[in-house]
Amino acid sequence: MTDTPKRLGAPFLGYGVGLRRPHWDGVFEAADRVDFLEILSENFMDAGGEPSVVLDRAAEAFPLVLHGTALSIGSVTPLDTDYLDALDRLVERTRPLWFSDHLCFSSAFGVEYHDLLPVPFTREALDHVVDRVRQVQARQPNIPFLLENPSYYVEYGANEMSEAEFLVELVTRADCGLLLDVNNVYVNSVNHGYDARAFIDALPAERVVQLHMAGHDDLGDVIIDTHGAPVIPPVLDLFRHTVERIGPVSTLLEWDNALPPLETLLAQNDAVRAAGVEVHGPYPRPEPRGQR
Amino acid sequence: MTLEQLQRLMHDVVKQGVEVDAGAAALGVDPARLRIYRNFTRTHVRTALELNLPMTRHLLSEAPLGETLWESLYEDYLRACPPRSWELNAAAEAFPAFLEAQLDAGRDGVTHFAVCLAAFEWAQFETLRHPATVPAEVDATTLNPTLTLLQQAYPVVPYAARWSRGERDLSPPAPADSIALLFRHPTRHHCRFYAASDVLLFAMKVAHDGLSAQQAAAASGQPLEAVEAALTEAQRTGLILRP
Repeated sequence: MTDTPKRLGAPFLGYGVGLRRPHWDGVFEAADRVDFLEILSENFMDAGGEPSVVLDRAAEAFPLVLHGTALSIGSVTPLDTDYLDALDRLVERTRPLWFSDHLCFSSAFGVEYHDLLPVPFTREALDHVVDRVRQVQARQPNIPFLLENPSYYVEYGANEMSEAEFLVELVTRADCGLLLDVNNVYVNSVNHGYDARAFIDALPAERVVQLHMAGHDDLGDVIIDTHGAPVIPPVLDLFRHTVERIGPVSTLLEWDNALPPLETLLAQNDAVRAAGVEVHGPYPRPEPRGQR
Repeated sequence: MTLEQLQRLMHDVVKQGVEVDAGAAALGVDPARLRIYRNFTRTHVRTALELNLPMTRHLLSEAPLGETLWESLYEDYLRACPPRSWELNAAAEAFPAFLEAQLDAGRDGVTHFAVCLAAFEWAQFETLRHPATVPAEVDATTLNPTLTLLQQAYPVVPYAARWSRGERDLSPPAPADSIALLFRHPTRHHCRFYAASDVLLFAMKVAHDGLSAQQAAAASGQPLEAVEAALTEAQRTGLILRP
């Protein structure tokens, strides 16, 4: 296998899936095909009952990473301390290898949008997000924090730089990791007409701690990032290019809508893994949680 | 345009305070693409509402005004009670109170039973998410710590039980004061609900007061066998936990 540099101290975990309710039972029986789990933070923050039981079981059985959608790192409204407190409790309970959220604003002016609204690629937004990433990192200084490049459907007239320029300066100045969503790069490249490979080549390889792979819906005039379909071959090709460019990176298959049977999900994960192994060769499976 | 101005504009567009075309022109974006965000933000909340309050949605859609009523209620709810929590399901939390306000205002098609049903469904969700841990073992008779008592003007429990069995051709019951007991099953983790019967209320009191079966028999004047039978029945449901 090619070198597996630790990215911000984070190891290469292999190929994992998101933990979703319909698969809560089955995924624990499929540990030979799932190298790690990603949980959606908001689904488990302060939850009692079955989510709490499943969370403990997942943290025991798999390497675990957390992924959020509601941090609203780009919002002009101050960071929600209740949210951050709940996130801290989840981090401290599960001790994930890293935690992440999206470069976006998902709430502002007292309202939650439950969607990822894009921040403009401006100098003011950059300074603002850098400052807020540092606030988040200060609460968990020993666990890497990553920001994901989201899919976005509008390009603001106010933009002052490209998305890639914005991301590079953001992760460098904030000293955080990048969760590179390969499907989002593809979706954005088609929706906004840029070169996906050139975009990936512009990113700092050492900051890419995790990759996301997912499916999308092509409506003809626009591609919607639905996470509700299989990964298409061009996205797999872009993934291969990404791994060639930056080396093996922990890769997570997201499937959030129209959830398929677990076997379909596992087969997709096998396909992504096979594409990665084509590039970087065989890799050692992560050690069971208790032995790390 | 400052970051705050831009976000205020996006906020107004998705909250329908500004028309999409006007917002798109000010933001320098394609209106069709901007409309995606307005639709998404609305759809997510609607999905949360319909997932958490399926009986209420069904009932209101079956009302004389049908889907029109549900659609208009949803639109008004979104304006009156925009989501305030990062927890998506919590977007449905304010719906029972909103519905009650609509009833008080005399809105056509909104019934007192629908208000009770919405409150019951939200209580089901809260029971599922209740932060208390139900202990696997106890030293004494203990009340399930996730228990919620819901006092209502309609007997919702039989209606909900029929719904959970897959029945959909349901008529609203006649009004009658009732108490619903909702709690999370200790091992299966789903929400159980029962109409408060004399047996269950008695077992609740025994558990609440920390009495043994013998003490409960002495205090209530009932035969020990009857007390044991009540406690066994309550334990079977998951309402109380016993050593």
